[in-house]
Amino acid sequence: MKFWSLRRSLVIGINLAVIAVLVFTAWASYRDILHELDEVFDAQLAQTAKSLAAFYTHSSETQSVPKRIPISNYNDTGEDESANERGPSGHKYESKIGYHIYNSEGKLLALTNQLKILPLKNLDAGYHTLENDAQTWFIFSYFSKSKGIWVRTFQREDVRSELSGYLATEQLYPLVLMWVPISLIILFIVYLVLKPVNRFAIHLRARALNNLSPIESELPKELIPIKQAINKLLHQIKMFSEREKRFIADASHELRTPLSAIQVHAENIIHAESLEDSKQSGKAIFSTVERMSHLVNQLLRLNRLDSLDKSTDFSEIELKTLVSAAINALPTNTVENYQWQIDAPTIKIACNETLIISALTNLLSNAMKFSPADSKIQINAVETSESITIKIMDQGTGVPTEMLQRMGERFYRFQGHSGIDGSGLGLSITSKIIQLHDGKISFNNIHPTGFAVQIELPKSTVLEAKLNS
Amino acid sequence: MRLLLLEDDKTLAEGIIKGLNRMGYMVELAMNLSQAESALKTDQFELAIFDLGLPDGNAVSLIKKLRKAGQPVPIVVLTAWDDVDTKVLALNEGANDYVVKPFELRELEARVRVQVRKANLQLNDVINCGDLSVDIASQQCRFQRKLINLTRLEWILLKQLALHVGKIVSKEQLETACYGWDSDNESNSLEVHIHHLRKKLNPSLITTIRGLGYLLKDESS
Repeated sequence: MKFWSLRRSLVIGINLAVIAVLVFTAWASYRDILHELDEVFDAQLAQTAKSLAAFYTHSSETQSVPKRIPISNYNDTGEDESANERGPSGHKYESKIGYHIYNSEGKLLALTNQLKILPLKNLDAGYHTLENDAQTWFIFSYFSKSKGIWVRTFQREDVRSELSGYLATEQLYPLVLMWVPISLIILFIVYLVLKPVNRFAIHLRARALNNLSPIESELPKELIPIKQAINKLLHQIKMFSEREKRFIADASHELRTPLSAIQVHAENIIHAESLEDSKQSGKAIFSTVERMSHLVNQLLRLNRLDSLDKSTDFSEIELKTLVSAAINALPTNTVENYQWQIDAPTIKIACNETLIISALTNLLSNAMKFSPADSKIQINAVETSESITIKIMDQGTGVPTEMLQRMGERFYRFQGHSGIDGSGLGLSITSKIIQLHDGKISFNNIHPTGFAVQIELPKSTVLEAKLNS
Repeated sequence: MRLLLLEDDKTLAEGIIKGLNRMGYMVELAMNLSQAESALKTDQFELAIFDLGLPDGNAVSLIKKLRKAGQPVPIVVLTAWDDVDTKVLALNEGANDYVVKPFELRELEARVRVQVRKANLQLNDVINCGDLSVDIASQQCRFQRKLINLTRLEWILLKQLALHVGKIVSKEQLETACYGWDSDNESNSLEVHIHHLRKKLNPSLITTIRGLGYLLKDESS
């Protein structure tokens, strides 16, 4: 919903509920009153009939024309003041009530003088409702045994409905009167309840764009999960932006330093006093440019890996093929300086061939770089039901335990190795490649001397299941 | 004039040293914080140039430590980090100036000179001493208004003496200023250069104080 508002929904919802309750109450009490009215009027009809029977005396046995009791029979002109309705000759309502008296044979003896005589002749004792001339009449029919006469009292329906209509309107006033303060109270309560939500929104809106510190404002219990979720998100963004910041700072540092070297050496060439001097500076520039282009290539590779999809170009490759391809990629003259011990089972690995080979090459080249010539470099692989673990071990000096954690961080280079060439990105690239294969990489020192890198890759079936899920 | 350069990038350091040598400075190199710290503890330098990001940590911590220990050597920071926060932090902790990589050697040298000048309470780069006028900026020396041609080592010696005019400069100080740490010069080579200097200038200008060193007489006072 586009304009869904908590406040509006609450106000409208509660108001509707209140109105429904009020209307129901009013309707129920109206029904009650109507019933009471019916009872009173019905009782009145019965009592009048009985009184008439008791007091009625037949004047002459030979009376052939029924006796008409005169009433004020003028037309209803609508609502009037009671004073106007009361005339010297009676009341306009007289036409709406009346009675008929019959003898036991059904002969009409006396009647109130309505304009039209209702056909009441054959009614049994008790209450009746009669439709006549678009009017409804309530009738009570009573037979007096002692006098042998029927007395039938009647009343027009609109007498009752008019009264009940009045009563119904009367009911509306308290309803409206009650609803107004209740709805004001509802508005106030909704305002109070939603105040912290509002405050929260204002707080969020007022935050500076670069403010990534967690939100501290006090909130009701229901909003705490939202606050926690936002804070978690903020924390992640903060971590991410800090990492990026560090990366940019490191990258600029790593690029500016060789750039300065080039500039300084170029300046030295301009002012060189001898050809030998300028040759030396030229060589320095050349090697620095090589170093820089290596660094730039590594950065680009890392960037490409960052944007790579997880499931690209996987194929099933024999582990031994991968290892020998990795060794082949190393410079032959240095490879010969080490004793290689390779112990890999015949097993296929689902991987991106190029990437895994470059990761292995990188690790093997590190092993050579950081261990003495003629030392042993071991590669072994172990297969479990779910994964394949490849271990590369050298006999170098390793790194201090507290530094192990930072291995693989971009541009991180252990200071003890600062004499050895490298961009500080090789392990980052390797770690990234292993990550793309849903694998794990870990670094450890070997006692008494040596360094081990362990790669755990999920088996193809496990990987497939993951990809399909 | 001897400087200490703290820089972990070997190629860059070599270039800076070569350039500054040409400009008449003797530069010693430290490649990490601990080397720099011990060099400053055991030796005297006119100024130190510090890279910040070093393999064993950030040099700002070393600057702070040195200043706390009362080390007065002027420090010019030379780093690739160009954000204001880092600059302000380094300056607040006691660095005297800040140069961002990449840079031109000319600028670095000028800033180094300004800091040395400040440390020696000079108003400009020309030191006058009687008939002698030493212009450190343009590396020129005039005696009785005449331009004197000096070799690199003669210039370094004269500059060192001129910067401490009226004060005794020890033989060791002059030797390290000329040859640095790892020099295998013959013991009398310094005397040879002093002799040449005296010949080119007034012989009485530079006095030998036996067993202590040499003195450029302050004739202006």
